[in-house]
Amino acid sequence: MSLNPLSNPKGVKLLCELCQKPAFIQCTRCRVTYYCGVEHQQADWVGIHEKICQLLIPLRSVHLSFLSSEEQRKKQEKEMLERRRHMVELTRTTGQKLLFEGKHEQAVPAAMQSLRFSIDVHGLDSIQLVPSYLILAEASIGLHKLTQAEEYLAQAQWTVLKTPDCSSAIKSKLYRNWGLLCAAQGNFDDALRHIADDIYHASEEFGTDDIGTSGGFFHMANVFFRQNRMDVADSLYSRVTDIWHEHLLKLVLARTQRPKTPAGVGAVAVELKREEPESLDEAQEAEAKQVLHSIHDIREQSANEDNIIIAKVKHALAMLYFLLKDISKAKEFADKGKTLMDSSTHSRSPLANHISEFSKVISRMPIKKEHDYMNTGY
Amino acid sequence: MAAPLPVIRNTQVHSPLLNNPVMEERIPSPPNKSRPSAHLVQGRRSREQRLKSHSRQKQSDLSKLDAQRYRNTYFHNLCLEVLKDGFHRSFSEVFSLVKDQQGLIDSAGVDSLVQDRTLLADQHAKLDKMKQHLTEAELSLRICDMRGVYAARHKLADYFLEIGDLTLSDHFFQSCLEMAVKVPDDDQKVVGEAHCNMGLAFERRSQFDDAAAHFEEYYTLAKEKQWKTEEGISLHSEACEHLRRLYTAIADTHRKTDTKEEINCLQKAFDMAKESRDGRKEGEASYKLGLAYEHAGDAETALEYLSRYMDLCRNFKDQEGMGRACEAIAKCYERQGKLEEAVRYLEMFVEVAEQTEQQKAHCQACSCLGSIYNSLGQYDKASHFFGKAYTTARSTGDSSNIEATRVLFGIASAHLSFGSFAMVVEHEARPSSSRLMEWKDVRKEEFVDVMQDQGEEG
Repeated sequence: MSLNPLSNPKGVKLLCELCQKPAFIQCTRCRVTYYCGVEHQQADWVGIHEKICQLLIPLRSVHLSFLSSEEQRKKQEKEMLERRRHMVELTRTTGQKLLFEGKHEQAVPAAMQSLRFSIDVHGLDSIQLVPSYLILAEASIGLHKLTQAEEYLAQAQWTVLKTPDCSSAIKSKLYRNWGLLCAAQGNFDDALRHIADDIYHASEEFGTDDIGTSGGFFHMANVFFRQNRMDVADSLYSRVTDIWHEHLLKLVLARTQRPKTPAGVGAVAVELKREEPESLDEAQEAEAKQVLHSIHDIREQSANEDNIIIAKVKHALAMLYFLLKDISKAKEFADKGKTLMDSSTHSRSPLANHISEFSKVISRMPIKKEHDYMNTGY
Repeated sequence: MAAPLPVIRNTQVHSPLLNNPVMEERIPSPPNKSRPSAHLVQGRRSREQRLKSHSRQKQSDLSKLDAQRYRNTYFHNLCLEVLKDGFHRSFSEVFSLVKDQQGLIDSAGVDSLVQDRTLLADQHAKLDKMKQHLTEAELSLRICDMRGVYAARHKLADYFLEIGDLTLSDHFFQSCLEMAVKVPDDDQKVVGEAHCNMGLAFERRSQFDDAAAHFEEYYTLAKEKQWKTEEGISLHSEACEHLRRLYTAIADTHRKTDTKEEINCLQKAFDMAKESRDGRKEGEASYKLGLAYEHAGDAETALEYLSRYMDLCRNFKDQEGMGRACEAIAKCYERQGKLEEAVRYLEMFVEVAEQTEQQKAHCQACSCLGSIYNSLGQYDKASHFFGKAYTTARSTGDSSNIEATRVLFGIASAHLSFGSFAMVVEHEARPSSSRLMEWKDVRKEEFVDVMQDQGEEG
């Protein structure tokens, strides 16, 4: 819907959501968001607005209702704060996910929204702003705007320095981005040093063999890869694979072994099924995809690779797609992994067992779904 | 309808979409912008300010990374150093060791004794050593040289053993074993060595059962392969020796509670000693076994092992051992009631002890013999040997021994003179009572002899 800035009510300046220039069009769905042109509207829509369009309405529209008591006003305030918090979460995860998918440009609107909401909730120099800065920085690195990225990072680091009891998770993210920046600048030594710091802090937060730490190992491996120190990169890549493989295996086993418990046809069995086991969030899913696929490609390309290593990556990917409910892809990877494993000499190892077990489960998959449906029907 | 947008300053800067140059003022502004520059400051403060800025210039030699290094703890920097070169496994290991120890101390509570232990993170020498050798190990691992990995870890374990940090040395010996299994080598010598080290580690912690398990592993390996050290000592017999020592130690723990188990262990120890072909050790084991049987009341079997010990001692001309053997054998016979045999061996014991001038053994032999004669009622002989024991004890100057033998000697002498004394008391003749008085005065030994003569005459 087009707007004419001249027809705005007095004292109200409607600005573009992305560039803060006078707005000419309005989002017709929520009617609370404005843009300078179609281009920015589209960018915002793809990036974040699609997700938050309806959520913005209660936050931005003027409340005409009259609240008579203090209590009600307080309640409303609290509600608004809660909503904003939720928005921060949502926009941040979306931004992160887009980053992992490599869509740096689309991540920018989401990151900006998250920054805006964080400022609303936490104020200007709170440590809570740092994750948003970091997403912006990462997006800038991805778009190869290095000076800008450095600005964001410097900002984030300053905030971290001023907050002595800042959590290790944030520090780890900060250093990871510094590392990425240095790597993008071609300064590999500094990059390694920063990523090392990232790994240290992530280990403090999650432990050395957690998927939270694996990202650091992965980036470090990439740097070594670019420096052509293949032996180090190799060992790091297999470490990352191991970490993800183990984590995914845990998740998959939690799902596939469930039906094995004596499932009486009573209400208890139904209840058991409803209980969702631990799962990956969107950003983690995207990270897993990115990391495992790139390792997979690297392994495939290099000529003399051990079959078992490739089989492990394939198995991890298969499990990932299984968790993402993309059964056909999962099947594909599982089959490839199985053939590789069968051709190798280690057909008795636990890994081989897991792989064959998993491909059995996968091959039953569509049939099993019907079964479940029938069961619940009765 | 129109709602105000959330008020945000300078948000346009955050949009990389627009290729805008980055603006100067950004949300929270770094403080250095508010710092007055030196040339603006006037008056008497200007000099201080210049000094300050001068020192700041000096500091500006520090790079960002240097500043960080200064801010971080030693452990943190060490981790960074390790990670920077891609040694992620070393990092994980050091990190988890440090955190585990910290967790242990924290969970033990404030009042526990563990609390005063120094954190591993603050022990720089240990951390440095770990860094050095673990990175070495990882380098070898990268080129799949498991032997190198093993060697590096072994060095580390030895180092910690040397400085007395058993937890860490055990940890690295354990990992040595894990590595050794992976060494692609038909001759599994490293595996054997690793098992041996693990066994020793468990033995140091007095966990004998675990230690035995590892030593048995080592023993089987050594037996199959017939390894020799560089000096030509067979590792097989070394393994046997380790096992013998261990079984003996296990037997010791059973001594008070379970005689059967003790004998069982000692039997194993004896077998091992026999297999190691070390006669001295074999003798030792058979002596222990004999004693255990004797303790359990099976004198027959005990005698068998003890005489074996005696033979071995004779072969090795071990007089001290001979003495011990004689004593133990005599004790067995005594228990069986064959006192003559017992006396025979004890006399042999005395003889041996006298020959070799082992005063303590001699003293013991004499008192044993004395007590046997005492129980046989041959008080003159008993008193004779107790007297000898007493003299020997006095010449050694061991006060508790002197007291003990003095009492024994006294008792035997009393027994000896008891007959005469009774006789004197019975015959209430004047000369005899005057003799009694005399004897009470000086306690001469002739009294006994004379009175006995008289009694025979009377």
